Amino acid sequence: MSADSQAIAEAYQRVIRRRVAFLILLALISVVSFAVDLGTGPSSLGLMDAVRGVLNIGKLSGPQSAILWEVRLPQALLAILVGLALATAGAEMQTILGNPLASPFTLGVSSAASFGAALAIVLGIGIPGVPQNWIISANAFVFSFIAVIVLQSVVRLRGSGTDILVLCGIALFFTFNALVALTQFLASQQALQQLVFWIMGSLSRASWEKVRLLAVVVVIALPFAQRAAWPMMALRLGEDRARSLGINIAQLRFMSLLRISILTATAMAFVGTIGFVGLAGPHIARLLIGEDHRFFLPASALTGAIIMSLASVASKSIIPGVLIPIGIVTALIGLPVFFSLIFSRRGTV
Amino acid sequence: MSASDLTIRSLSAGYGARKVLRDLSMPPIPGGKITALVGPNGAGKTTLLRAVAGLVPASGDIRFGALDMLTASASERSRAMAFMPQFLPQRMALSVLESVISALRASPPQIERMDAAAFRDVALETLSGLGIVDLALQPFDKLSGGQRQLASLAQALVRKPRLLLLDEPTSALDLRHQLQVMNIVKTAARGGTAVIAVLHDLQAAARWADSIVVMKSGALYTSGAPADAISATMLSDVYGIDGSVETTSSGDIHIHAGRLA
Repeated sequence: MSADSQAIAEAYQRVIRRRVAFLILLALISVVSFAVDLGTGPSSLGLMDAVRGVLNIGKLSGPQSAILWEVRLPQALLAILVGLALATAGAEMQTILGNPLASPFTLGVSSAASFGAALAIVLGIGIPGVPQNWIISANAFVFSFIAVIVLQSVVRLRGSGTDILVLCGIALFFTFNALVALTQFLASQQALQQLVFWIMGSLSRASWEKVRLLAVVVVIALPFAQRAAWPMMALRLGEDRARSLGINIAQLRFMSLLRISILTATAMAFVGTIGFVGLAGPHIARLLIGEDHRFFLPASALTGAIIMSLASVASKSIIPGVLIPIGIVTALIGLPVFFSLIFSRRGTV
Repeated sequence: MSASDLTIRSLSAGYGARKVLRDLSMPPIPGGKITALVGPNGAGKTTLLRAVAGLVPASGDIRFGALDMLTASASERSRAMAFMPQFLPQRMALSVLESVISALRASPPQIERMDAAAFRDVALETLSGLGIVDLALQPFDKLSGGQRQLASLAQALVRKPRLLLLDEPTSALDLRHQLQVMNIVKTAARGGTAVIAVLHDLQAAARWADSIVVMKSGALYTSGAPADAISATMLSDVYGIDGSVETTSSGDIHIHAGRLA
């Protein structure tokens, strides 16, 4: 190989090493923000107590232990998992639709979840056989899944053109929002309050069952997303190019939308609609680390986890003693970060 | 017939109900040569190229050597053929090197396993052959039109295809880069690759192609060596212009487009 090529090969290896270092850094930040999240809350259970409690060093009092294990830990874990799930879904969506505006929120999936929740909260309509305390989650899951199935069938019926898909997503967004508004109009004072609170998104409904379920979904879906990294990158080279490389785009899109629907639907079922993470996580990751999907996907997931975790901390600390719905906070703390990255025009690593 | 000849018989292809090509047959396109597809806008040049690449629904018969291109699986096709599209994606932050590596790794054409370093080195070798190794780490977004076209050609050449399909490979290039690209394409052809290129510029087609296929309204008008295919009659029949063609003593062809016929 020529000296030029050799120099470039070495420079490229440095880029790769830097990206790996970035991923490790993101993972460390998410661990730290998770710990801070554990140590934040209205009761006097500080960071060190929480860490000692989790690592089982030293003794916590009965009430402290209960707060840690029944409230703080499930909430903090759920924050991390929701961040991983929504940001991965957003990253995949942006790639398969070739549209930087695509996210579960902008394509109507979260509006559908809200409508499912609204049916349960306002009209008491749920899926038969589902226990009362799961009815809202189950409805949200089913409706966000329906929304993605609609997007899927658009792909099947009208070919894999992305413009139509994005337009249909926007149509879904408006339709479900109108339906939510209709149920709000019909709702009683009390149901209305509950619904509005649900739509804002909150971690206060966390439980170990939800943590376990979402963990299973994330652990299954993320490796499959990672395995599709090369075909996804080929798709970024243009649809004709990818097809001429022998890639079955319809199948790639279908499998990707399947992962997106399960990740989004499960996350939203448990915490309500949280819009910003799915859009901003991938954008921030792309600005930091570039578009090589081997690094871009995990970086998006970790960025999402960090955003959610920090948002959880903020939601507990902005007004002491008040838990602000996390959906509001993600947008408020995410936006400044997002804009500063866009305007500083940081080159890709 | 050699193992790298492309034959096209009674080919019909198009988008939905609109058939752009109807019952098109043409003489075999030989391996080791550059064949230029020329003709006015809408003549079906790109559709023909896309049909061969398997990107447009088509019926009839397209064979590359022993490979039946219309019934072959997409991955079988992709091992033999590489396609360079006319339109390149916008807003893409992959670097040139990454784009070339992914064009190779997304569906490796070779059977033997390669490790990451081997993929990288093959990609770098291709970029070096095109003289753009210095652009390797530039994001695609930041390239000029000509540089993007070179990077796109690299994505096709990296697969070392036996059939290379180029849709207007030089449309965004200045004269120097045109020369550079066509020289590289010529080298690929001398290595045995069958090259089919849609070219708008008749003068360039006459200069670079070993043979020329002239298309008009979805059908074959004529084909042959440049000196035979390009004539004043052809200019008037196919393009609707009054022009003249002269062949110099050195064998160069000069086309003078006169006025609208």
